[in-house]
Amino acid sequence: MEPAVSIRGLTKVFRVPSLKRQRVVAVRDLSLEVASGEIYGLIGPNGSGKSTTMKVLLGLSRPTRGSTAIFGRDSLSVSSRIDVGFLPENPYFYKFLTGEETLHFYGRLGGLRRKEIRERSGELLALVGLEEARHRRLSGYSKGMLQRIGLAQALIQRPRLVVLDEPTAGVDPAGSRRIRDLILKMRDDGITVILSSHLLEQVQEVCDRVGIIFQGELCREGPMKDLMAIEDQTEILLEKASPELLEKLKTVIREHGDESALLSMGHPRTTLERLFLEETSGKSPDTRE
Amino acid sequence: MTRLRWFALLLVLVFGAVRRPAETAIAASLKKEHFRESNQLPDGPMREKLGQLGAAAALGGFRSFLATLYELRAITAYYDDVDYQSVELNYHMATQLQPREPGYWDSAAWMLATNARRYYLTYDVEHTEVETRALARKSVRRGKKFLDDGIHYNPEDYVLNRALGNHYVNREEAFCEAAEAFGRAATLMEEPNASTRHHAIYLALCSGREREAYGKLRLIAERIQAGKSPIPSHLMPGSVVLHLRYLEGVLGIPEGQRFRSNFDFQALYDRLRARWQPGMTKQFSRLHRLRLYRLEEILQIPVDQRISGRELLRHP
Amino acid sequence: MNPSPSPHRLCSPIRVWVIARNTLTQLVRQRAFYFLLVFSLVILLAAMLIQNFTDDASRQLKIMKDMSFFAMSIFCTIFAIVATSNLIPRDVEDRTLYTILAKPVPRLEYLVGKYAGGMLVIFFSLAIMTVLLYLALYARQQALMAEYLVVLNRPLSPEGREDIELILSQLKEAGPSWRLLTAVLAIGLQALVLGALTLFISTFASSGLFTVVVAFVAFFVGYIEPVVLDYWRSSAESISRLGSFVSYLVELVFPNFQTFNLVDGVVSGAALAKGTMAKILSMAMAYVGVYLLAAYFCFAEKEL
Repeated sequence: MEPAVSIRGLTKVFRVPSLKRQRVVAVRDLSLEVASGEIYGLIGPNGSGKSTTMKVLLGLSRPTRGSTAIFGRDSLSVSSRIDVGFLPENPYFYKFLTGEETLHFYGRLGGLRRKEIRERSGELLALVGLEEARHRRLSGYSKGMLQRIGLAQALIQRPRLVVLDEPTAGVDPAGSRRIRDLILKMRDDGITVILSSHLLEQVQEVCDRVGIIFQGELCREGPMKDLMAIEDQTEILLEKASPELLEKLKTVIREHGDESALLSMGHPRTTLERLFLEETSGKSPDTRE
Repeated sequence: MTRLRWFALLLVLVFGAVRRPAETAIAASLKKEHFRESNQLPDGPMREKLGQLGAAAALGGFRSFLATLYELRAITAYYDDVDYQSVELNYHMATQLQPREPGYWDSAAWMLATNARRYYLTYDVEHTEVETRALARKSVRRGKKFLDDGIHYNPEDYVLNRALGNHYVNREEAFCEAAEAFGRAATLMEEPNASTRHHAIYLALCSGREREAYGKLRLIAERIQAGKSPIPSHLMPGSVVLHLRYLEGVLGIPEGQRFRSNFDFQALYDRLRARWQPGMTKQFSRLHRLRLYRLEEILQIPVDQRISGRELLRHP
Repeated sequence: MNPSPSPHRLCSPIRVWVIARNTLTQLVRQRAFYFLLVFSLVILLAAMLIQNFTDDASRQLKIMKDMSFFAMSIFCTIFAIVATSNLIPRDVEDRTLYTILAKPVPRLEYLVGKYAGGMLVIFFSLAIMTVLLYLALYARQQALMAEYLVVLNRPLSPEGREDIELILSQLKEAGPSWRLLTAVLAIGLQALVLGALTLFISTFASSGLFTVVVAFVAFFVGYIEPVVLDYWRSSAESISRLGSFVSYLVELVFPNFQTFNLVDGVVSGAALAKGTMAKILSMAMAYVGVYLLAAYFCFAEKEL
């Protein structure tokens, strides 16, 4: 089956406006594929190249080398964006429009007819919980409401791929949970999602696969459960285990005598975060060509 | 710079080269269709008065607006400050900005040759009589200059040519020149008009042109009598028949060929004479005196009863 | 959810219209039309002022026309530069552009749509201002004519009658006529060209201020350069090669705004031949086309 997104050997070099004609490599030889229907998490620290990768994928920026494609269509062609919805980080929409007008505007740009837009915007406003605010201008929307109307505009023309750049940045926990639920709903509807976020817990919760990007390079990538698995450790999941049973287990392990040891009992809570920190610490910050 | 940006620059330059001849052609058409003033670029002294911004505005399509502003200033100078130097200066700017707007020339000439003259002769208390006379003469000259320049820019304007004729009559008593000016004005209208009449009348007062004047006056009188003129026949203008009858005598037109009219010359003479009082030589214009003289000739008033003595006919 | 059924067109007038209308809404909701109130005041003021200033009837109408066309030109020029200079940089800054271009919208359509939206504001403003001017002119003309017609019915000397008839014919000439539309059209065309030029500058300018300054400079040079160069070429005794090369270059780079300088002539009563009008119209369209294409060249590869 054709991948939803394929990025091959992507390199993006920016010129720094200065007398020395300095250049900065934002993305270096990055390749990845996202299968259709998958939720893919792209994580990395600030300035690691996540947003640049997304911009190149959406044709907002041209690759210096390599190529990106959406459902087999080169990102440089306008037609590649028929099947894409995009929510940029901290999006500002036209504040002079109401919520409904915003959806109408983006719906028309997405090629929908007026009647379709009317139906679809009703659906989406209900989905993102903005029915009450549909006639209010965006200048009066809160941050969370803006994110939700952003999500609605991304979904307006029923795209097969949705790209979300920090969808929960600056949103309160309740709003954040609401957005997470929406993403999960998209998966249920068969939409492919690419998600970049700082909130690793959230990524861990919703993503099927994750790529860790640091200093422009993809340093780790794979299915969430593979990445989370620690090779030299074994997790035993018990149900309704009594304290006596747990005590017995500890004794058995202790008495076994070889190198094996019991490290902890309980849930490995921040494994993704740990992995992330492992991958992104102690590497050279020099990325200049 | 990206490759496409070079394209953009190249495109603009190539377009510049392509459009240049077309724009020159458009400029020529606009000039022909009177969309360009002859002095498009304000000259040195004028630029100085306009200031940099004003000069730019004059070039930038705001000439008409600027001219209006200068006229408003001239009118303010006339009403509020009674400063005729300022009136003249501001009208000079207005006419220079829009030389093809006859109204400015006409108003400027009227302001100087009529209003300023009257002011100096009647109300000016700052100067001696000799000085005010000099000032009045000067403003009449300035006023005339505006008319001459105006006609230079607008040779086909009826009002300006007529105004020049009136100027010659009222300010200079130069009837031959007046006749010429009215003659030019008359040709600028399709139908015979007041200037046609004035042309003939002042031609009748221009020595050496009597026969020509007679022919024209006769034509006018016959048109009025036949009801072909907007003037009804019972309102036949006195000056037309007066000069016509006088010239018939001078030119020795046989009785049978003369213009027949029952015009009451005596009544006209009495009316004109009633205005006359002894010692009015200065106030009674040469035109009035000539009319009186001709009426006295027509009515064959005995010499000792005449008031238009030879000294009255001398040019003041 | 199903994939979108609607096919994608390479160039869609609908999308251009959607962007243009949105830009129009934006400018309207930003109260760009408030200027029209000022304009109405200018006309009103002019109409009131002139009665105190001049008795010359046709001159009263000229003053109204002068003031109105001045206000129209100023509004259109400033609007074409200031509003257009901000259209794209603002979308880039607010990142609204990301969401628009992430939809299947070619950059050329976006540019043309934005430009058309800005120009629609100018179009509607000019239309409203023209209607106001025509109404005011008509009212004043009729009032003046009524006054003179009353005089004409009194017994008058032939000279007096001729004077009144002359004034009446001048009033007829000076009133609202189709000819005045030539001036409105010229102002509109100039704004179209200026808007396209400003949009072009804004696609490579580093800041909004830079765009505005460069556009104003180009506007002034474009007005003054043809006259000054003409004068210089006809009056200078000898022109060096360098001099003629530089002046030629200036002509190539800067637009010739004298082509659209028709207002003064129209107010003075000059009539434009249809052929010349057609040439001027084509020239304006060529300018707009070239500047929009140049703007596209600069914008097509712009990193967002």
